[in-house]
Amino acid sequence: MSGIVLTIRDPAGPPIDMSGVLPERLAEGGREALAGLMLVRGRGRHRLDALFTLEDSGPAGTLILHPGGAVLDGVGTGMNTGEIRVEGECGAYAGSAMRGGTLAVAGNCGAFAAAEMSGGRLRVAGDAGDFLGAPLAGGTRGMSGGSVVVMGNAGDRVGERIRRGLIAVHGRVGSLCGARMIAGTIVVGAGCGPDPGQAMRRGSILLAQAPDAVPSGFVDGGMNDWLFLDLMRKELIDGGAWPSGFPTAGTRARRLIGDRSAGGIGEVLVLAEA
Amino acid sequence: MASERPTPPVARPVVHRDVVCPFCGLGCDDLTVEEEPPTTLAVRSTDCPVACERFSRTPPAEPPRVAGVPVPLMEAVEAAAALLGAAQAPLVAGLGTDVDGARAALSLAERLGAVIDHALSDGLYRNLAVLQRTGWIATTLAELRNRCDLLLVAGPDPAALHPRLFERWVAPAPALQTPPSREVVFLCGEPLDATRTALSGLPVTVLVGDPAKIGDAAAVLAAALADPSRASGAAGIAARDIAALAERLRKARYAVVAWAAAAFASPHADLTVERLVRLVRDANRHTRCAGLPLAGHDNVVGVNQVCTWRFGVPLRTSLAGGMPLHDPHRFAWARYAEVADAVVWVSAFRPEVPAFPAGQTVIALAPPGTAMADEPAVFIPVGTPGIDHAAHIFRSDTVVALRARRLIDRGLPDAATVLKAIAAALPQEVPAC
Amino acid sequence: MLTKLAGGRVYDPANGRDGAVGDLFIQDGRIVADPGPGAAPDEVYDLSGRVVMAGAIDIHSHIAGGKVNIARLLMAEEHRAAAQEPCGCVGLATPSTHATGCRYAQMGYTAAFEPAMLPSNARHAHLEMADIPLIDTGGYLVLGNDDLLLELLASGAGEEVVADYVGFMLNATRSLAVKAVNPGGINAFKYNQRRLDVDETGPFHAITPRRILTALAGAVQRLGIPHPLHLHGFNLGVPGNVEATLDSIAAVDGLRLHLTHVQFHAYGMEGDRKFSSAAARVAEAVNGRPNISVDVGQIMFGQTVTASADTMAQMGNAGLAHPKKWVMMDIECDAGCGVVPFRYRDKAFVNALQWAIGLELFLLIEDPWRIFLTTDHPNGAPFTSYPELIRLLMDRDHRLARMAELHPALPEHTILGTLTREYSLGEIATMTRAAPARILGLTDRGHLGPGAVADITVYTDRPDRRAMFETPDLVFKDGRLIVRDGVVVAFLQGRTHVVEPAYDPTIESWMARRFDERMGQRLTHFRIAEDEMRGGAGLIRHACLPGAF
Repeated sequence: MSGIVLTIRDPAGPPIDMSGVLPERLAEGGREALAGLMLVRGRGRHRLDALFTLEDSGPAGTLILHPGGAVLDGVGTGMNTGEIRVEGECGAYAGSAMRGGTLAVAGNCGAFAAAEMSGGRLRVAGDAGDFLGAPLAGGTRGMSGGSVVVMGNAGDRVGERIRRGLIAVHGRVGSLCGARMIAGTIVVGAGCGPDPGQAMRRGSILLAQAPDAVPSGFVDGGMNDWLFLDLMRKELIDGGAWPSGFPTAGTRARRLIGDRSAGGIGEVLVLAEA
Repeated sequence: MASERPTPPVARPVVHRDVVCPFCGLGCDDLTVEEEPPTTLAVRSTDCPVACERFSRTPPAEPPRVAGVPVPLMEAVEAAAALLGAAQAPLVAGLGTDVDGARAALSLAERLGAVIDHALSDGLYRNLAVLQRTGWIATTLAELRNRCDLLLVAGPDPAALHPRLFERWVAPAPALQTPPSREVVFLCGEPLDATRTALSGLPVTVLVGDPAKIGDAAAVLAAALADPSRASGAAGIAARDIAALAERLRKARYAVVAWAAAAFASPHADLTVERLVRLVRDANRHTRCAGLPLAGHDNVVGVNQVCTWRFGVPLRTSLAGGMPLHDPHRFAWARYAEVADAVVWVSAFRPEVPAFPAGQTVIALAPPGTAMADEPAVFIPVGTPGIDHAAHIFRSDTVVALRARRLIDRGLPDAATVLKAIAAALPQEVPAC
Repeated sequence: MLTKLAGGRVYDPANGRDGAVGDLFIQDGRIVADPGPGAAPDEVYDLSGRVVMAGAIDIHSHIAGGKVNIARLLMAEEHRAAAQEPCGCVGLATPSTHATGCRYAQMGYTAAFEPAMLPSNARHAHLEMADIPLIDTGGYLVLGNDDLLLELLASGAGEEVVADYVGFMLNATRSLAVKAVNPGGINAFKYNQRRLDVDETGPFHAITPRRILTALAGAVQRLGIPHPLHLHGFNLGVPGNVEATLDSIAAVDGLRLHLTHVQFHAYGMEGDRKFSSAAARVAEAVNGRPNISVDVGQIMFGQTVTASADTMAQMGNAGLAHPKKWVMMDIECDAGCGVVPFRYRDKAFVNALQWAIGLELFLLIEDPWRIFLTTDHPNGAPFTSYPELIRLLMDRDHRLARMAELHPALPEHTILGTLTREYSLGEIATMTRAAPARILGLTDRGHLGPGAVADITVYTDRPDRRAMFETPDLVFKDGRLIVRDGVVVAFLQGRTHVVEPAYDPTIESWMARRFDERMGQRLTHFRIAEDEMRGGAGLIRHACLPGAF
């Protein structure tokens, strides 16, 4: 069995909720099962094959989506296994609640990508929106595993409330990066907006550039050598998660510890050139 | 000469007493409103700018319009139904209406599989997101009035949005505390002149700080409660002021932290609210403390209550496919309006309809005389709850619902009637979801 | 139109029928006497072999009002999961009003009552109840922490004045009964008191919980309200609280009293875990006193949410919240609310013992007219768990098998394993129909005699009692078929049940003054007008009979 390429029939139209369109559906029930999935677009439900053409192509266990300008929300939601490649942009909730497998987006993705992800890999070649790896509405925990790499920029509240896992953004992030983080690692290759790590408890935020001011509630632990940075760099380089803007060698970093007002002992590490 | 004509008899004003004001959410029910028949109203008992402005704005009825052309009501209803029957991504929003209007709007939305949201849901969600995510400890207005001995007002003066807050709920002496003392502290916000006047009998402290950093101030205050001597400063407020406030908060008998989130500057104001909620929770380890989120213009609190009980989930929900799916991101009206192909906008409390993307099909229910940037596909003038028809509205603190009554008759239909008529006129081929 | 329900086995304990085969005739929404051989029914249902009972009545279920909406908001995850399933709203702890009405009707219930309606929130509760389809509703008014009442009592007001206050409040809020929740405790919590003993005076109003309890029980009797004072007692959930429960029974000294969700109030402190069953002591007290009735408040395992007016108790539970979020509110010089999501786990000793205590109470309390089947929805479990609970009561083997799956230390701490009693169909019919109707004063419901409202449920008799009670074959409401084979086939509006006890209106001028001085609300606006109730369509009044109870 090969993979399937889904190409949008009518790109003009309201966003399509792609929850349920997963490689495992293909593996369980074949092309027919996939074609018959009911998807919500606007007010109605439609068969998948009424919204997309299906073509056998690509490696087994892979779905390749050609959105062609249509807004596809929830791509890869709850995915367990296999691969989804999006040759274009994703709407909101790309890879949300992912448990395994790989989701690769050639363009940008919208808000809440990797929301409550617990495993697997999300790779975004373009930019990501706000709330990357954050909780869903009413949720108390964000991402709890897996890894996210964004080659472009990301928006505000990246990594909010994450518990575990890795988020790497090669470009800039907006405000409140790592707000209320419980644990985990966030790596930002270019600058970050105001209030990184606000109310964080534990976890690490690695920045290439210092924030404009020491965030409220943080104590400046000074410049030091942190040997774990060598290990981290090696690991992250493998996964493409060590931003190009980061020093390629060296272990010196300025460590800001906080957020004390939340009883936190997390860290914001500003990497220095070797 | 003009003086030869007999002067018409002067109509005696009708005085309406104990009028319930439905507009800002404080639910003041003591208004005296004079009516000069047939339809001019003037508030006499208070100079609250919201009440005075809204009650006095009662232009005469005008006919509905389809594509700008005046038509009878049923024709407008049928035109609206036809447009909605063809829509693939309808949005029913604004929802500035009373409980019955909300019920009718939600029923219409359910029939259409539409997305639903209230015009003022941004302000609502600054609080609601925190309630959904962490919960909170909160109180209501009569508790504030009768038991609170320390009121901490966080951020911009809420009286800008709820003018009689201090006059009705803070200035009167607490009846259920002995001794009946009260003091007010403003944190990162300046009291309005009218507020200072209303509070002239009480000790008032103003801690001047950066209003964009109220959250930081709340965080250091919460951290200082366990040991005020180790307090830090934040938001431009000195550590010693935080320490002193922490001491007073610990010793309060019933402290209330009040805020009007709609007035917070940041687009991420829910995180600020979350820190205020944490402050309240931490203070409850030492004494009794409760939060008072102030909101409620245009019955947003009431409409959210109706939506939550009807669908199990709050506003910003899609009814596509028959199952209510709540998503405050995707189904925020301003965002969904970009992709919707038909919008029903209900704004019965105020004569405002927002500008929608060019070419959007808009069906607007609003007071007569509402100015709109673009002429909607269908405009149906409706009565104002508490003026043209009796109405149930909820107060800001979410618990008390009030019944406002009808004062005048301009011959306007109420929003509920119009919305039900539109639903009934939907083409039968539109399958109910 | 005359409808005949032919040949069913009729369980109608109020009229002495325990399964004998018989016909029922319905006309104009009521059951009528057999019209004789000349009559030609327009519609006949052949019910041979099937079980017929009156529509079931839930006397304690949190279905409307502010705290129910707060619970819905906190339980976002269950609603998100429900949206993914095609018929997702099964088993929700916080169903919408629509799902509430449908699920109850599908289980053969034709009425459910909101047991904790706050005076300041009554209008909201009634507006919400009007949106619950298919079933009748009503509310019990929470009193006993309202500052006005406590002020009256502390000032030495006599019984008549207290009764006038209660009478006014019931009328103004369109209530059916009086509810007391941790009398004095919620008020004390507003003054930072985290515990209050039954004989301890409150921190502001110098009045003891005992005094409040006896005053309310006395007022209920004086006013002749059919339903006894409905008491959510002291120290809910606290090991050793059986003492307070027995104290409450003693305090009312022979007046009628209904102890609600008594499972949560039947705890001892014995043994290695300092937490033990005191169900036997409670059962003994109930069995020996005909003035006492109880509903159990059974817990069932799974995720739910606890919601009550008892902020003092709920603050104690907040640390156990699952998921970790909760809401407390102090409300309008009335009472409060505490909403704490909770998960009962069968492998947790405390929860397993709570489960056993509830069942012990069911099996040890002898009179099915004085014990009611509730889970204090949603506090113990969603109401959709009732069929499983009925199975546990009727099928000892199933009960023992379930018990064996729970925490291994359970058997040493409960006598449940030794209790052989199995409820009969007649006893279930009593407990879920005849008795609730009687204790609420709904004289023309809960039974199948001529004159009764035609709220009727028909079951296929199945050995698996859960399957039987989960899916009735037919449900009639006011003589109309609303459910067939577990599917809702018609929608209609139920009605709201109220009492309007007589009282001396002099109290109103004092109340109006207090409202003006304190409440920021005119008393006239506090009162709910009849045309506000279900759009004016909906009140059913039940007579108060001073001295009759």
